[in-house]
Amino acid sequence: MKNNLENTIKIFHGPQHPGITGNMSVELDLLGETIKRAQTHVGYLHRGFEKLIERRTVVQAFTIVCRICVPEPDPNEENFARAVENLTGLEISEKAKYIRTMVLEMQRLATMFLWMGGQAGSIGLGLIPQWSVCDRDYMLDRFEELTGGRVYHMYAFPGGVRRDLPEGFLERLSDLLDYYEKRIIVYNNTFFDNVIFRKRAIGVGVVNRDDVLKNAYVGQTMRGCGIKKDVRKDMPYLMYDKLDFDIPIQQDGDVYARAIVRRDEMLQSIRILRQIIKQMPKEGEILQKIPKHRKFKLPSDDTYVQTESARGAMSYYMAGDGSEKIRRMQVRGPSLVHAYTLLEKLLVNTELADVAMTMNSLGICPPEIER
Amino acid sequence: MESGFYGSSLDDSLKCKFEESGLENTHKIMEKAVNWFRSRSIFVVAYGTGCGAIEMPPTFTSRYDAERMGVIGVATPRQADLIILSGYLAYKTLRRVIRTYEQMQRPRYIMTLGSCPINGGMYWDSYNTIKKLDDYIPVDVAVTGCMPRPEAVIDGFVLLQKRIKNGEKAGWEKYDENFEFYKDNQKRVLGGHIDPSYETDWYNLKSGGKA
Amino acid sequence: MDLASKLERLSLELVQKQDYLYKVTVNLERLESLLLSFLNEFGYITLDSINCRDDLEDGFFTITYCLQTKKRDHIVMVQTKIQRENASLPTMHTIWPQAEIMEREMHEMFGVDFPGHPTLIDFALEYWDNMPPLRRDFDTLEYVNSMNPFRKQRGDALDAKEEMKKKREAKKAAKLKAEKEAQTKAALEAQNNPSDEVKDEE
Repeated sequence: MKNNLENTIKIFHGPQHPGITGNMSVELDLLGETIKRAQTHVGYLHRGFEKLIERRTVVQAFTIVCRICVPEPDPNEENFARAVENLTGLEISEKAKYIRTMVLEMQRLATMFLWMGGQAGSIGLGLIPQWSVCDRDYMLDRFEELTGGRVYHMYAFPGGVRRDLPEGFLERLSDLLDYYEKRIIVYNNTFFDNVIFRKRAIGVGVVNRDDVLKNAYVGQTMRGCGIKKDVRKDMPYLMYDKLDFDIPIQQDGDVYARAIVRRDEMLQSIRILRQIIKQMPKEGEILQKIPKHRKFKLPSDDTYVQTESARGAMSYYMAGDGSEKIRRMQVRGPSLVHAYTLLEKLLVNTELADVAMTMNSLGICPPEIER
Repeated sequence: MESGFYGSSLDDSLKCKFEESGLENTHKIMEKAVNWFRSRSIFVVAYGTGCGAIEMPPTFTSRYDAERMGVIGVATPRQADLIILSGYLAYKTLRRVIRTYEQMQRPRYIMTLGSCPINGGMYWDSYNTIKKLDDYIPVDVAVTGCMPRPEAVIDGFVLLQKRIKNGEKAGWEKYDENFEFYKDNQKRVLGGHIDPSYETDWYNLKSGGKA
Repeated sequence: MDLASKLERLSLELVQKQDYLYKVTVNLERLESLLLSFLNEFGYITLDSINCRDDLEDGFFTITYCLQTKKRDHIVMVQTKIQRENASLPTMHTIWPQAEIMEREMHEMFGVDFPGHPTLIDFALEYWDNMPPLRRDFDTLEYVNSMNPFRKQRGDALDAKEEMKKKREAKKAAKLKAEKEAQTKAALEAQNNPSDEVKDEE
């Protein structure tokens, strides 16, 4: 190992770097253009969320919990709400379940569009981010109409959701899905079939299939290796067991395979949303009436919940102690293992120009690694 | 400490030459012209220090398109006029921000997004984030919100452009004038573990050492 | 369930918490061997996460290992307790490589020691010289106030609690007033109505 590192130069890829997926850095030892050693550094975004949540009641913690992962806050809200419901035994109505499922799928689409911008921008295709970030914005408009917030929604409260659907919302969402279906064909021609993208991405960042299950890789990293697993199918929550959808897989395990899996997942999300629009009940309770709503107490018990976010399974461990405050909430996001164990392994013997592309394809989101 | 309108020692010599040849008015007109040009070509380095980074792509891409205001992103701090600090700053980030800021050429401006750099925001009781960013580096424009929408960010750009155009005193001049105040604050909160400054040998600051 | 009978042979109890969630409690001495038999015999090959909870009042940390099978259709939590003072756990990074980073984080946030762990360096914090911050006896508010004082208020800011109190009192007063008015109105009507009736009759 030591001999390999002779004559290398050290480069910090980040934290201030346009190609990085957030405020984190990768320390690289380069021999020419080739990376000989990679080491991840995080902590630039550490806020001590788990300490803050210990000091807050459920209602107070609910407002900060969505800030744990910035590009996709809704799986966090869903996890938090479901953990509290598990602990207190709250039941939510069918309509609230449908709305929550809808919000999660909308968030998945929005995150995928943002990812597409990052993935294309990291290999120098400047046009795709201009389009896809704009397309994501149309979804944010729908979110704003539904929840009042563009990025942070604070919508899925324990016991249901905060607000009912606005009038005519489902029709407008349906129009947007029509638009997206047309756009994905355009993206397929310009980005996924792009010669530059194929040449850069095929055969780069190959994940070893044997490591996947043991090392707890999740999401597209797992499905890009041909392992058909998805929390929505295996441990169905909300209404997912009543909706019809497929789990797209690819066999190669490289950057291109992960991109294709994501494209197919976008189509599946549109399919799920169309079913939800059809099946959405007209009547129903939105939010359970909780006695002493502001200070409901968690029993001294613990639970573990898992949600499929747009980048893989995201889990929360939550424990109460009979008081109004949460004793402990620990977040295990999908990018913790990806950013350390996997990225450090994948980057060795690749080129410097592939670092940003590989990071983007793993879906690394620094704020949820360090909270 | 070097300071002045052209951001370099060129300033004084130019001014002297204008005064010698009795062209003080020309100097003032030139100042105005340069200010106008400067306000219309702001190069931005966007440091995603926090949540606000998620609103940077919409601001700079086709829907909101900040480029039509003459604001364009660059990759390196050495080429930038403006650094955007988008959100709360952990102590670890603050060290890098100071280093990045000191790499920038004068004139340089700072814009912050969100409530967190102003007074801590949501993370007011967090052990790892700072509360008042303007104690450590001079902030020119602070856009509030959690997060500020792209429209608000563009409004911040317009405000900054107005200030540059009017030739108001900017943050970097304050940083040069009150250098010791800022460095003392940085040392207090970062515990002395700051990277060596690009401008001044602050290890020997008290003895007047300059790098 | 099949796992329950297997654990019964080891005289351990499997508790079902939720639809897809099970829990086993074990003491520290048997933890490592149990995790190994989970991996090798029962087929739980995925270590999803290691969680730590600080039970300050009882003086121990509660550690939870979350395991999944190849199918990933349920989660088993293996829970154990360790002493808070000089806390130490066996490291799992040789079996599960991802445990290295989880243990590094736990070492930093709780001060749990892992003998034999190769990289117990900083995870998220830098030059931290205080108590590990996620221990419950670490007072974050006190630390923040000593490091970062609040910005001085503008002077025209209002105290939220007092304002709410005033609002509530004003609401109460308005309610009382409305009740009184309704009473007087009813009384007036009661006075007026008979005369109306009389008028109607006329």
